[in-house]
Amino acid sequence: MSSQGVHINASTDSQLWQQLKNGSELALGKLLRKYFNTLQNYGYKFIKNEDFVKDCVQEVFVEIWSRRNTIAQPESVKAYLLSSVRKKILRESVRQKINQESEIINIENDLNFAELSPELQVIEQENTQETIKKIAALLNSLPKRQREAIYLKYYQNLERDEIAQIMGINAQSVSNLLQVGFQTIRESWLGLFIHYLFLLNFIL
Amino acid sequence: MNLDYRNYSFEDFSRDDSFRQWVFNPDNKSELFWTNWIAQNPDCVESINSAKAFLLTLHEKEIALDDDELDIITASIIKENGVKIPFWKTQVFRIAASIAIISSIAFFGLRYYADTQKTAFLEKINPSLTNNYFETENQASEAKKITLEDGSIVTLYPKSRIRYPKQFSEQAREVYLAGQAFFEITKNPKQPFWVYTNYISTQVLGTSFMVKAFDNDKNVKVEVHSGKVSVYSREDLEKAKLQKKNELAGIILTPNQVIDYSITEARLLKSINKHPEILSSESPKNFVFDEAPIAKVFEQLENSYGIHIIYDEKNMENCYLTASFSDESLYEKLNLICKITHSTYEMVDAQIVIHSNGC
Repeated sequence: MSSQGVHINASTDSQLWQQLKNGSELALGKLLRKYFNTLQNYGYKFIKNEDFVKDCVQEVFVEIWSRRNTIAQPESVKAYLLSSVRKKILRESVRQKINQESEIINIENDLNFAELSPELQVIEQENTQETIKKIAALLNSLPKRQREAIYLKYYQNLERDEIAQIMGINAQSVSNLLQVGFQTIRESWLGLFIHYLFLLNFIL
Repeated sequence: MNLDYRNYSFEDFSRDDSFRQWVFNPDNKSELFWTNWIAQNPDCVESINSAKAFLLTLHEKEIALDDDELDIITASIIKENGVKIPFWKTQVFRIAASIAIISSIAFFGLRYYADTQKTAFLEKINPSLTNNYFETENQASEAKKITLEDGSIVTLYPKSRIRYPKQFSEQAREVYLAGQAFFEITKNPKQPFWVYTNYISTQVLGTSFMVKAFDNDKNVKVEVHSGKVSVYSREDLEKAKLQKKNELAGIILTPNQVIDYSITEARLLKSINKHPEILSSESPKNFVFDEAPIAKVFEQLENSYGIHIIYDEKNMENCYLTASFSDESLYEKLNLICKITHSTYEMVDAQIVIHSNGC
């Protein structure tokens, strides 16, 4: 079902990409509207600096637009954008590190999840908050590659091949990462479920 | 469809488009659907909550720009992507070029100087500023100090750029600034120090002051800390240079005064610094007045802050003040004085005018 959704996306995306290659400013705008925020969110997982991330994402689009005549048509536009942002951020953060005068960026090259963002504290109920805290702790306890694969699959809703492309590993490795990562989550999840059932028993 | 969901694990929910939409961008329709569904399937509530929490954990932080903001970015990308990219205007581009700029002093060619007008303007001031100069740009998040050949110190704020000749001319020390900088200038009456920005120019003898003139700011600001500077609009300066006149329509600025230049209105406006400071370290920090005539009070404030206070002496000759001030700001002091003496004050042209009906 979800794979169907991806296919529909893919066809519109590649149409937009083709239009962009032909110099359509409209297509650029549409792609930007569609993916800019998602790319920022991804970047933010690596570096907790919104301005820096925004600049990197913007520059990815600048580069695409300036190379539109020669740029290739990617199989998955979304995966291409995500992997471009990933590379950009890692590269730029290393540069910033070289530049010792700059302490703007607190480099965390691993994908990380905050325990609980202030936004969520406001919107979510207490018990959801508790769960979020636990899940974040759980996710952060996973090795970083597993963490990233899970993020790409479940948050960015990507397919195995796309994840492989972004992370620069083969598809089988992605499957392994996901399987092992999710095994850990499932096991700990059981604990959470029991906690929940316990709470429910209390309430009912 | 609804039946299907009953067999969903939280992993399945996490990947379901309708469910994701409800978690990330809930609207009335999805809210209605999912609340109903949960009500009908209370036994699935754990999977739902877990999946929701799971997605929210991954989502973590809302850094969403709205469509208008995104369209502005699109427009800027399209605009930028002419043949030349206006280098300093795009943070993005700066990052790309940061490797090249990392050394504390970078040599820039003219290639990015798309604004030929600016170049012409600089050329007129001093040809060295267009063909034989150093330029420093501060990419860091903290201000950075630059010492010029004459010993003057420039504190360059982030996102700012300063250009100065490799060697100052004998008549003047001239620099060009885009952004914000604090200047501590060594005294040399024979070689006045000039700070040029796109719209205003500041001449200095020996002093410390701040200039703020970012490329895309509508207002330009000069703030004096010590000494005296005179500020000219670029237009006036060019006119005067053209006519070889020695008189310039500048505005003189003394400590605790600020000049704002509004680009849209093209005029200089003098006012008092937002937080006037007591100028000399000799004047006392604590003011104690015991039945002091108001003239004495104002005199002391004038001396301490270097700001002129205008009031009707005759009118206020019967006003006396008993008060002690310590850490209050100038404005707080004025408010108190006015309250006691039944008067009001206003700022006019960087001076304080007291209106009183007498005591």
